[in-house]
Amino acid sequence: MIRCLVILSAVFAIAGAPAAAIAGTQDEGSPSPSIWGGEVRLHAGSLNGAEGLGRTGGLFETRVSLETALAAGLSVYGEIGSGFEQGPDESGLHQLYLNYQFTEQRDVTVRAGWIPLPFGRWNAMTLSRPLIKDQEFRVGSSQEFILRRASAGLSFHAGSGHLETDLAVLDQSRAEEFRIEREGGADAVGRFGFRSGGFSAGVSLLQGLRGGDAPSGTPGAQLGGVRARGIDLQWSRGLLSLGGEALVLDIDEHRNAGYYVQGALDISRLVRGLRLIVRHDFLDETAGELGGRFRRETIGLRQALRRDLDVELEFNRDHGDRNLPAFGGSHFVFGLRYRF
Amino acid sequence: MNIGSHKAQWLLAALLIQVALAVPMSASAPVESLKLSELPERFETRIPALLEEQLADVERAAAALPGMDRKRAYLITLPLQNYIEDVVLSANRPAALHPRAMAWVIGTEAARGTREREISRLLVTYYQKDLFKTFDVNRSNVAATEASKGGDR
Repeated sequence: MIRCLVILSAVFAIAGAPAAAIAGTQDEGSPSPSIWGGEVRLHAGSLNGAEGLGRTGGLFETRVSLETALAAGLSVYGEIGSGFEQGPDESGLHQLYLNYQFTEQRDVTVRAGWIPLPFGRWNAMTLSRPLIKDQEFRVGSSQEFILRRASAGLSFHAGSGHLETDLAVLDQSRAEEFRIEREGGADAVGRFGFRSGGFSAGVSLLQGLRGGDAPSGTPGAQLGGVRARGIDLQWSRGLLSLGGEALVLDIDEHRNAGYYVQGALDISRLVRGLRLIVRHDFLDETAGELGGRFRRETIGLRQALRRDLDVELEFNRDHGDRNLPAFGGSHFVFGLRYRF
Repeated sequence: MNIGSHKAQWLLAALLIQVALAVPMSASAPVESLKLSELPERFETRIPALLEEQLADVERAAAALPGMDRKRAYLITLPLQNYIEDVVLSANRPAALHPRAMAWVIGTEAARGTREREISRLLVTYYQKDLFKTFDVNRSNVAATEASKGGDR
């Protein structure tokens, strides 16, 4: 709790400086923009709780974000939250980094701090997270690995024309832990993407550079024992969006694989603000404690009651080799999201 | 009643919807008009609430243009907001808006008699193709249309 308050104080103290910087970048006559915003989510029904696969964010979750310019090209972004953030982000710091863009004309930036992991996509369109990105895999006797959202590290982004590249080195501790493990491992991550109009595609690579208790006996272990490769695709045309991601995660000679495909269609023609969402999700896990194949089909509706207030109703049908506390059978999940 | 039970959660959800609907919107409906020239030419954010605030401003400015009114402009940018949140922000990319050009497109299409649903779809398509930055919003023409709108009242 004290740590959260310290983080929050630091974020807002940093944010106190930029008024002059913002004033210089605004058009004359433009109202000063806000620099922070937040949201509150409620999830009711199944898929809540810490156990299981492809969770929602718990009963309640809140998030407060701050984004502002500090000087020419330099900005800060911070995000803290309570509850889970569509998955394994726990209470505390979610992201906090400095972003430096070298020139306005060129898309070249450097980030330092608790930065997002540039591996594929992060959020799904549904209330629950994709299975492959929600699973915590065991590595060796005492360590765990998860495709987390953010960690402490340094990243580089460059875009030119339709091509974009992201490279990063990150600590394997999650951002919420707000620490850097000297004895722990690090991940070297890269994503190479193509984007044109409503289409985007990317290839992501992750190589673990583990610390003292790396799994032994494999060629991969000498480098770190964890290696992930993934592709992500997104195609949008008008009110229809289709996308997905597939990845293979090798841990100490054990291969895990998973994919998901999802689609969203805005059906405002029927009811204003109504959106239909579907997803098919698959995880083949051999390196973790679960061991098995899991599949989930999801169909949901999201209705914007107002611009800042959404309600969502989702139906999930699970199929798996094993029935787990929060996986198996059918579930209805209700979501309420309010932004401020 | 156990807060963890499903029945309690659904009751809580129903209660919260009522409370949330009673709270005034931060990204407000186009109540007060805004001049096109008051919108920034470019706006970039990663925060959904700020995105919504900016899109609400676009609607307020568009509502003051010929062929458009507050009722027609209200939530005309909602499909674009959904697209940006689902596809752009969820990929850890910032949303880059051109609010002045967006309001101008809404006004121009409304003046041509295009229906709101079609304008909403056009906004999404133009965003996907990154076309807003290519529109040359002529300030003198904008001023003229704003003046003519004022004269029509």
